[in-house]
Amino acid sequence: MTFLSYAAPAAACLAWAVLAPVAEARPVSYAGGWTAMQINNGDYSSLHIHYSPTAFDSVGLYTERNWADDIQFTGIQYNRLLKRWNGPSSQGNLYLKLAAGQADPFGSAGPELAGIASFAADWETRRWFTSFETRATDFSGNQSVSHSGRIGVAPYIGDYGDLHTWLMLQVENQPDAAEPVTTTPLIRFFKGVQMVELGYTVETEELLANWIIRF
Amino acid sequence: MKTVTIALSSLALCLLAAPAYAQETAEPAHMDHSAHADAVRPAPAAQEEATPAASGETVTARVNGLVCDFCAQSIRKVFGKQAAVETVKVDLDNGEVVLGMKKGQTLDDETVGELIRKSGYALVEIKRAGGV
Repeated sequence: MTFLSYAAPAAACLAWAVLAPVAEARPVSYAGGWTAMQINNGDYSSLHIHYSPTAFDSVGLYTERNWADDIQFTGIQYNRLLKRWNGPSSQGNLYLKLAAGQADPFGSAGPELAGIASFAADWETRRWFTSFETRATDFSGNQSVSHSGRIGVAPYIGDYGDLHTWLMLQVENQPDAAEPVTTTPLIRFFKGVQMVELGYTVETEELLANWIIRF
Repeated sequence: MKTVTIALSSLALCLLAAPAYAQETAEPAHMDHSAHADAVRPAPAAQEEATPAASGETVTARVNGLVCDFCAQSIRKVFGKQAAVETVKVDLDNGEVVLGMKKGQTLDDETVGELIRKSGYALVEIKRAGGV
């Protein structure tokens, strides 16, 4: 094995990740924890069920019905907490997510190898929230990249176990889309192990509905 | 027209959220809010009781990074698996994890710190009260 045999794939993965970060909330749970995450945002609907062997890794099934590309993706996704900053009243995180599987384009050809890579960063206190993510997909040669950012504020500070409410604004950039820049005001409800987000994308007049449950 | 629709939708969402919050504040009986903390239950070895009073030593760990319920749940799950731990409380307001130990049992500082680190958080200091 030469150095290049290791370096080339590693560099490719890194480049892919940098070009493609994603942004779900906390894709890694506590050691031994299971999580189910569902996203519906007009461009795609997805389900990700993962298991965290450590508090820094998770792996699980990821399936996505991509409405924009008219493709069904099914694969295995690995999530890694790259770095966490723990402050007295804040927390910041960097995540890498990689998925590999097959994309099944409806109508024409059969399923082909496909992949998703994303990088996500967030910083939050109990009052304020910010996040950024980049997501790159390669569905049977159909490649795309998107970037999104969020800011949010909690109108009140609840105790553990209370219903927490966040008001957020999401801005997303999809260079190849008919509407390259979209804005989505949304509301997040958070109680115990469950989280629900409801929003509306102004430019495309599409609803956003996400949920997460941990167990 | 689109702006009006969005504004009305946002208002409706806020109105939907308000009653739920009001219910939380009006019915605190299920929670121990006296110290803005939560008594931890799910530990297989932990007792189910309304207050976190433990029969043994109380270990209070000040922890950085506790900002949400998912964080608190992680701490609860990790310490709840420890045989020496009777109760676990997570105080998000003060960034503290309060462990009630079983009588005659305890976790040393190194173990507490390691469990917190493995949970993804940072230990600041540990205080102990009560005897073993």
